Formats: sequence, C-alpha cells, structure tokens
Amino acid sequence: MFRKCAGMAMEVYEKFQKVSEVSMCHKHKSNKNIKGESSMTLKKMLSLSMATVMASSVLLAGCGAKEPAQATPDAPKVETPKAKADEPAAPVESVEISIAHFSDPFETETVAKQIDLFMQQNPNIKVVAEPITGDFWEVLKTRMASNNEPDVFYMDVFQAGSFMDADRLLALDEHLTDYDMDDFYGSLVDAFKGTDGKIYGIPKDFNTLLLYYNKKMLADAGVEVPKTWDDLTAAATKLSTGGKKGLVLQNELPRFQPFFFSNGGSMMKDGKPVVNSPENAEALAYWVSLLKDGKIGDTPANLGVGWDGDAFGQEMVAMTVEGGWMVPYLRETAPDLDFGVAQIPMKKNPASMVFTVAYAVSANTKQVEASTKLAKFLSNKEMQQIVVDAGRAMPSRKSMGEIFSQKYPDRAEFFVAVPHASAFNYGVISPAVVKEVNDAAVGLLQGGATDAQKALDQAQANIDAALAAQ
Amino acid sequence: MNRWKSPRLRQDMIAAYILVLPMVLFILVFTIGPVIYAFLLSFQNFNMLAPQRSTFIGLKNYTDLFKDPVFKKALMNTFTYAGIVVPVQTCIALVLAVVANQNIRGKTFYRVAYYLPAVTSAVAVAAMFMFLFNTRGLVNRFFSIFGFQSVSWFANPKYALPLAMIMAIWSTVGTLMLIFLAGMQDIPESVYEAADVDGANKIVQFFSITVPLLREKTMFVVLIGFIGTLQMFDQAYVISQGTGGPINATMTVVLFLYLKAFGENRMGYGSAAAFVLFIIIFALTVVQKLVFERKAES
Repeated sequence: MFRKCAGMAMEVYEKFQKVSEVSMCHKHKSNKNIKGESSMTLKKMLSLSMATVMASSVLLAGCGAKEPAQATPDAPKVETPKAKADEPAAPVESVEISIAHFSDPFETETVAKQIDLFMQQNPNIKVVAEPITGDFWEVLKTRMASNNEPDVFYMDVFQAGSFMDADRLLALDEHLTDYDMDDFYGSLVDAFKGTDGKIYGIPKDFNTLLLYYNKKMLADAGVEVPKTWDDLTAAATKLSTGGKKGLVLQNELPRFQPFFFSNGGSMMKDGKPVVNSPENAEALAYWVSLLKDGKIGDTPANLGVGWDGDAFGQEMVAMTVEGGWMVPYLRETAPDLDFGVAQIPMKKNPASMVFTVAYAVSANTKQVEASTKLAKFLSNKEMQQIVVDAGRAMPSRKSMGEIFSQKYPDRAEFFVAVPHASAFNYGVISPAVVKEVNDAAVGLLQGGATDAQKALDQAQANIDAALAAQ
Repeated sequence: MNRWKSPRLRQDMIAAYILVLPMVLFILVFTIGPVIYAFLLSFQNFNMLAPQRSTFIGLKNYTDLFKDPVFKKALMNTFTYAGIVVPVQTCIALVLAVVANQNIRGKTFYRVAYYLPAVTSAVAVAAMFMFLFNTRGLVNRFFSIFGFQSVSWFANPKYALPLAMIMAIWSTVGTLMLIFLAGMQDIPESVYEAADVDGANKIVQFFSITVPLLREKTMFVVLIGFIGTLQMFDQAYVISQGTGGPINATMTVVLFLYLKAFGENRMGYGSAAAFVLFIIIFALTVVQKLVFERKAES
C-alpha cells in the first residue's frame, strides 16, 4: 500500500518537474537578464516545493482515498438493489457500531469470536472491535471529551461512578424489560446502578476476594484454617517459622476493605465516601498489626516479589488474601502447589469484596437499538459459556455460575462470597478514595503514624476536599 | 527594513514561507493550539467527561493549588529531585567525558557503554532497577555485607525518591557525556601543549582549561537538565504504579497534574498546575541564562 502510494507520488513529482522544466526553458529564452536568472531560481524552488507539497498531498489524500476507491466496485452492487427495494419494502437499514475492549490477547480473541456470532445473527449490524492498548480509561475519557467514543465499551465498577455522574452512560432499563436480569447476581447489577436507581451496565464477569492457604504448611504446623481474626493472628504467628511467614498482604484498600465490613464498618454513606468510622479504624489497626515489623506477615514488596501470587506460589508464606484471578496464575506458575481457599477470617460478620466489569452503552450513541442489542447479546448465556470455558473471571449469571462451580469445584467458594461482598466503587472520585485510604495504611505501616483513627480522619478530610472540587 | 522592497528577496521570502508552512501548521495545531486551550482551561472548572458543565472560575484553580498540600509536596519533591540530580549528573557526565576522551584502549567500548542507558526505554530501566533494589535484590545484598538492613527501596517512603534520582542519573549521564565529549573535541590540542610546557599537571589543566572552555556546554547541560528533571514523570509513574506513592513520596508536579486531569477528570486544575510548572521552568531558565552570561562577561 505504502509503496504503491510512494510510487504514485514519485510519478507525480517527475511529471511536475518535466512541466516546470519546459516552462523554465521557455522563460529562459525570453528573459535573458539577471532578473530572469533570479526568477528562475525562485521558479525552481517554487516548483520544487509545489511538487513536494503535491506529492505529499497525493500521498496523504491518495492513500486515504484508495481504500474506499477500491471498495466502490463492490459497494454499488450491494446498495443499488437495496436502494431500489427501499421504496416498496423499506427493509432494515444496515448500521455500524463499535465496541471497545481490553486488549489482552484473550479478550481480543474472545470478542472477535463473539461479534462474529452476533453479526451472523444480525446481518444488518456491522460491529467493529476496538481493542484499546495502554490505559483503557484514559483513552476512553479522551475520546468522550471529543464526543468520539465507541458505542459499546467495557466499564469497570471502579470507574463507573465518574462516567455515570457525567451522564456518559445510557440507562438501559427500558431496553432490558425483555431480558432475564433476574439471572444475574443482584450485587453485580446493583454495582452498576446510578444514584437514580437506573441500570447503566450489564455485568460481564466478576471476581471476589478469599483467603488462600497452603495446605501442606498448615498441616505441618498443625494449624486449622482460620475463621476469625483471632484465629488468623494465631495461625500467622504459628506459621512464621524457619524463614517463612504466615501471611503476605498487599497493603491497599482493595485487600483490607473486607476487614472494614467484617468489623461492621462501611465505605459509603448516603452515596458519598465516608471512610473514617471507628469500626474502619479498628479494622485498619488490626490489619496493620498483621504486617507490622514483618513478624507474622509482610508486603510483597518487602518480600522482594511483584505481588502476593509470587510470594504464595513460591511458598514463602502460608496464607494471603487475594482474588479469584490468582487461581489460574498459581496453576500456571506453581502447578504442584497444594492450596485451598476459604472465606476471609471475620470479626462480626463474613465479608469479601467484588470486582466486576460490565458492558455499557454510550449515552451518545446514534445506534441505541443495535448497541443495546449487542450488550445484551454479549452477556447472554451462550456468550457466558465462553467465559466459563476459559476459566478466567467468573460469569455474572447465576445459572452460569453453577456450571462454572461444577467445572471448577475448587473455585466454588468464590461464589459463596458474593452475597457478603462489598463493591470496589466509591462514587465519583473512586481513584482519590483509594489513594487516600492507601496512604493512610502505608503511613501506619511505614510512615511512622500510629493512630489509625487519625490517619483515616486525615484521609477523609482529603477525600472531602477532592469531592468539593468536583 | 526594506527587505520586502527587492523583488528577488521578496520572492525568496515567499518561497521560504511556503517551505516552512507545513511545519508551522503542524506546530500550531499540535503544540501552540493545545497550549492556548490548556491556558483557557486553567481558569475553568472543567470536567473532561462533562465539558458542558464547566464554568469560568477565574483564578480559583491557581489559589487552590497553593493551598493543596499534595501539590506543595509535589513541588518539594520535584525541586529536591532536580536540585540533586542536575549537579550530580553534570559532574559525573563531565568526569566520564574526560575518561572517554583519553586515548586509552577500548575507548569506543566505554563511550558505547556509557551511552547505552540513554537509548534504553525508561520503563525497562525502571523494571530493572526495581529488580536490583528490591529486598532480595543485588543492592540490598551488597549493603547487607556492611550490616545494613534490607529495605524495599521503591515501597518505602524514605527511599522511593532517592531511587528515582539514581535511576535518572544513571540513564541521562550518557547523553550529557556525549555533549561534553563534543565540546572537548573543539578545544585545540595546542592549549594543552602550552600548559604542559608551563608545567601544569593534568588536574590543573582540567580545572583551568577544560572546565572554563566547556562553559557553554555546561550551561546547556545544566539547562536541559533542569528542564528535564522538573518535568519528571516516567520514573515516578513506574516506581509508584501511577499513584505517586508511597504516601506521595514520588509525587512530582507532572504526575500530580496527570492524576488530577485524567484520574479525577479535573482538566482545569491539572492545566493550572501545568502552567505553574511552566512559569517556574521559564523563570529558572532565564535566571540561569543571565547568570551564565554574566560569568562569561567577567
């Protein structure tokens, strides 16, 4: 393609040179004074620059135009009969919509497969897949800023708040009247409800947090799987021997939030993030006590690994709190590891956390019908079977969850956590909330702060300031 | 000015303008235009996702900035970072240039070896440094010989910024060395020969000949050093996984404005931070230019 265009440009350039040479010879004969000389150099330069500009414009315009130009021979064939048929029968107009998705190889392949099936069933709708490399949210936001976003896109529950707040997502309720939303886990559907109670996304899949434990290490130390906070401290202490540690924990909100809720705490009040309840402070103090000085537990960074999965997979530690995504990772990197999962040790009530992504439709889309149809199609049972077969994230439908649990019995426990799992979503400014609470936790562990309540009060003050500035 | 009076010159000018036109258009559309737009945004309460809700709020973004403790921390970090990195990297680059300028065996190898970090992507460098500086990494093992306790450099609020400094120095020294090396090629051999005759040793020669004659190059190196370090982003982004953590230890001004603009959708606030940084860099550049020029006169 490029070579062809370059060749074309060269041809134009050569032709132009010939023309200008002729004109210059002519000029030279008629004008033999010095002035003529100078105008000749100018002419030469002008013609050269003109030729360059022309060549480049040919290169640009020509190359751009080439694609549709090649397509024209076929296009009329399809469209002419349609145009004729248009008058009497008025058939369905063919439309084109786009879907933006995460760009890892698995998603790209899956989405390609799914939209092929969709287009077979809906020949009048053409779907273009747009895998977004780099920072998905940054790209999506900038494209929205220029009103150039895709019709359908993935929406993380963590990001959903700011998109809903800015009226960027289409409320799907009226399009879901004929759809079996009852089959979806209620907490997942709720996660994508706006402050107005409308549904802004159809859950695609999800993961929850559980306690992972190394069966052999626990058996060797004669430790039962911990069920309460006291059990957990005792077990971690007993398991911290011979250079091993009881626990590895990522010192961040999306790991310790279940401890807040287990202690009767919460993250949101009246639709606003409120993080500094005494229950939360008590839970955070407990969490930090597990990691303090690296005696019974430590962070992945202090253990010299990238994340929990490596520390646990390499048997440096006996236990961790992690999401369902760690199971496939461990199967791959530590195939011989004998591990189990259990509900996170609790204080007052059982707790976990849910991470989920939905199919959302742009509020801007011109193809509401086709776009909602695609979103519904992608989350139907047949498509979720693909999610089940891949064994990665867990399907968002209860009926498919049962199939998933049967297929992967060792991951059934992750579904048990759903009813008591809190969402990874703090409204409009989720990123700021996570950052502030993380800073509080890091300050308590490494920054010399000692009072969890004060640390969370400071975080709350910063969150309020960020919220006021919105 | 009567350059437009001569027809020949006028025609040349027209040709010249036609030739520069594409580049000028390119700069207007992709650089000047966005700068002006960002300047306008900095007076607005502009949410990237909801531009229709944006309102003109005058200087509020700017006054808010100087009340924002995180922005103050970011300024502190950035100045600390620049204040340490620039002198250190300039000195090391000068020394390396002297070494690479000697007629020693394998000097091409040294030149390539010193320059190699400059052509390595910042992300790859950061990944390598995180490997070297983690608790089980080479650096901690080395220090543990002397009885130091292992620390996780990038996860520890005390060591994260120093780690970013080490990374920056390591990766930019090569380019600066190249500039010094080019400057040294311009110093005539005869000056050194005369100094030899006068009995000046190598160290005296370095301070009395090489350093003063490289003044212009030094100014350039310090200038681009400051401009580059005040805009530090990539190392901080990689070390902190985009958060500026631990507890804002690696929060720089550019990372701050990025997080405000793209994380919290506060484009106006982010733009204001960008203009504060621009004014600081601009002022520093002018001051440095004046200082160096005054020195050159004396």
